[in-house]
Amino acid sequence: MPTDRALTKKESTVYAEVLLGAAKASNMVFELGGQLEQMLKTVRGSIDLRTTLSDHTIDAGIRGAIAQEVFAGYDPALLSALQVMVERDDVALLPKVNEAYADLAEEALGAVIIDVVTAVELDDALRDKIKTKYAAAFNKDVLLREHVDPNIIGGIVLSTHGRRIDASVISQLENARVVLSTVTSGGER
Amino acid sequence: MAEITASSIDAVLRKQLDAIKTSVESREVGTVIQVGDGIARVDGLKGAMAGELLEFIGEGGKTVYGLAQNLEEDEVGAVLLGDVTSIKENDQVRTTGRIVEVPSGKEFLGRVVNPLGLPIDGKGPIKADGYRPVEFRAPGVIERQGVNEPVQTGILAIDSMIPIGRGQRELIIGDRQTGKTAIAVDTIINSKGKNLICIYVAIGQKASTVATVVETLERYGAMDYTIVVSATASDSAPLQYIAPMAGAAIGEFFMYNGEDGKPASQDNPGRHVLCIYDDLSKQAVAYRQMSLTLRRPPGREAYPGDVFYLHSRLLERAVKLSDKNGAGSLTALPVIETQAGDVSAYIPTNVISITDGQIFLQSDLFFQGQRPAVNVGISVSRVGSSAQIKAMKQVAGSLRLDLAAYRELQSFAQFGSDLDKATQNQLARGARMTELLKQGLHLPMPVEEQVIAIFAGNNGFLDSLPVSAVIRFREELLQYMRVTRPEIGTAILAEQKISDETAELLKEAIAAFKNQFAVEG
Repeated sequence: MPTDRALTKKESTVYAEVLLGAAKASNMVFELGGQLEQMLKTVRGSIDLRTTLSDHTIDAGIRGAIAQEVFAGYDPALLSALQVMVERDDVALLPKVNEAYADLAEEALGAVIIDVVTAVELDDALRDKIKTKYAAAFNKDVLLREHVDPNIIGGIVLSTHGRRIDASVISQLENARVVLSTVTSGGER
Repeated sequence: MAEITASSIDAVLRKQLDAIKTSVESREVGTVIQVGDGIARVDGLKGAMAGELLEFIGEGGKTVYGLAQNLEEDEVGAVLLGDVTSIKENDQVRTTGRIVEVPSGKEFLGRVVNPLGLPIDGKGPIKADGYRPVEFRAPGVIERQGVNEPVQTGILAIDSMIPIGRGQRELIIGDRQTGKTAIAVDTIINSKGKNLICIYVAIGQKASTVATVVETLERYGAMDYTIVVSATASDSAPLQYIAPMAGAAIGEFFMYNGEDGKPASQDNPGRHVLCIYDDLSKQAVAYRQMSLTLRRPPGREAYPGDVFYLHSRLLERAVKLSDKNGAGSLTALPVIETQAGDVSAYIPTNVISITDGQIFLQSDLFFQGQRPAVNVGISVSRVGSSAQIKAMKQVAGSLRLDLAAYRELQSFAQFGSDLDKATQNQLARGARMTELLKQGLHLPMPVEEQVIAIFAGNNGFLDSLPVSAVIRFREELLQYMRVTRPEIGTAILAEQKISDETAELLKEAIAAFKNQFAVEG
């Protein structure tokens, strides 16, 4: 991977533009963004996968095959892009590609993408409510990328562009736990 | 112990429940991309501020705090302040919009806390009167006034020749095992009843050393007005790095607020604080470790380029505030450990140039039995004399020069040539004055007694004594003065000077004592 900032930016933009072109052709601009983000999370979460994909002692073909197997079921365009990244030693560019793709996708869709995490599936009424509220706030259309995570117990977590509104029950409980375990009224010596 | 009743439990619970915030706010969130060596690299957080407190949400919702240090194009380098092991890649990081703060207040007196203000002495929780930011801009020119009150260390060699004023920064520098900490501890012990709150910051020391200091302070009843901030060698580098700043912040609370806890002003005087940073070389080492792991470029001795600024902004917080701002003061006594007496190393030269003077301790003097091992020839105090009481100035005014001349003569006298009477007298006086300055550990001397002792030396009362009897003469003289002529000491303290009348009385009393002093003991 080049260490020149301008060069890395240029390279990641090229990857993102190619991905966007392919996604547009298959009308999967929104979905591909989600998959790319998931892919990034998986790579970041596993040190074994990360080191294997950038290990020069392993043949690039084998590394590519490992990547294909790990991410089987992902969009073919995305898998091809990853294959090229592995061959060219550009896996470390993945976060930048993801960021560049997100910007390009929002521009292409003319909308803001918001990640929504809930404990149960969103219903239409709530979905509309969120869309209306944020469409007004951003003065743009809003697309929701929905995730269901029972671990948050209840409530909702909304995030976009690095900002997050956390109104989940688990966070509120955690907050209460921290306050009750740290706030004291002086106590006895 | 207060009785525990159902209503008191109810009140405590209510208070705690009131502290729970249920409101939801939008916060900036990033992701940990790398963690190790006590630092984390975080993706996102484009709005993070330099030095901002970050909240890392670790395994099982455990919160660990960190400090944003490197703000790069697309990531933030942060140092972790807590349990590093509970943070892993992909964990969430939030900005908090505030910088690190430490609690402070009256209840901290007598306690041992860590650099985050949490008690570590097992004496239970501490109720804070307020919080102060760890990094704080030093007061400007207008908010200050000149140093004009003394900090009495109780050490004859220092109070007479290298006086320290309230609001001054005086460096204590020397090799290991030369008595640097002893000077600091003696100063704390001597501050009893002198309206001075002492803060002892232990950085990178052995926990057993800190325990010994605390035990000594307790034994001399000095913990009542002292707070110990401890970041021992086993604490992480970031904690050792913020420890002196946390100590300064705890002290600033007392200086910027009056006795009633309200901001200090003309009518509500701020308190006087003494901060001892023991030692800043270890803080610099901790900062070097942090900087190198954060991949900042190394400079001289591998220290980062801003290590000078680290110390200068800390020591600049030492201040004597103007009357309008409550006239409080924060005196800083930084300690620096040298290696084999090398004061030209990077950190010693930096701190020497920042402070208003230095007390040099030398191991050869220490092993010759000259304790405290202060080399008065190269020790200076650049602002201290304006903070000396007049009586001390009267007796000690020429002492430094006399001793310097003595040392010069002494080196000539080593050749063994015949010396004239005047030179012999000067040598005899110098040897006795040097002997007079020796003082035991944790035996601080009140200022009036220091004046009497030096007065006796200056007026030739020691000249006829053998050098080995000088200390016993001093001790017995002071005991005699305390018992039979206490009015002289009281007069010196009250008038703050030696009037002609007092001088006569003093001469007469010392002569009377000398007549009955048995040289052989």
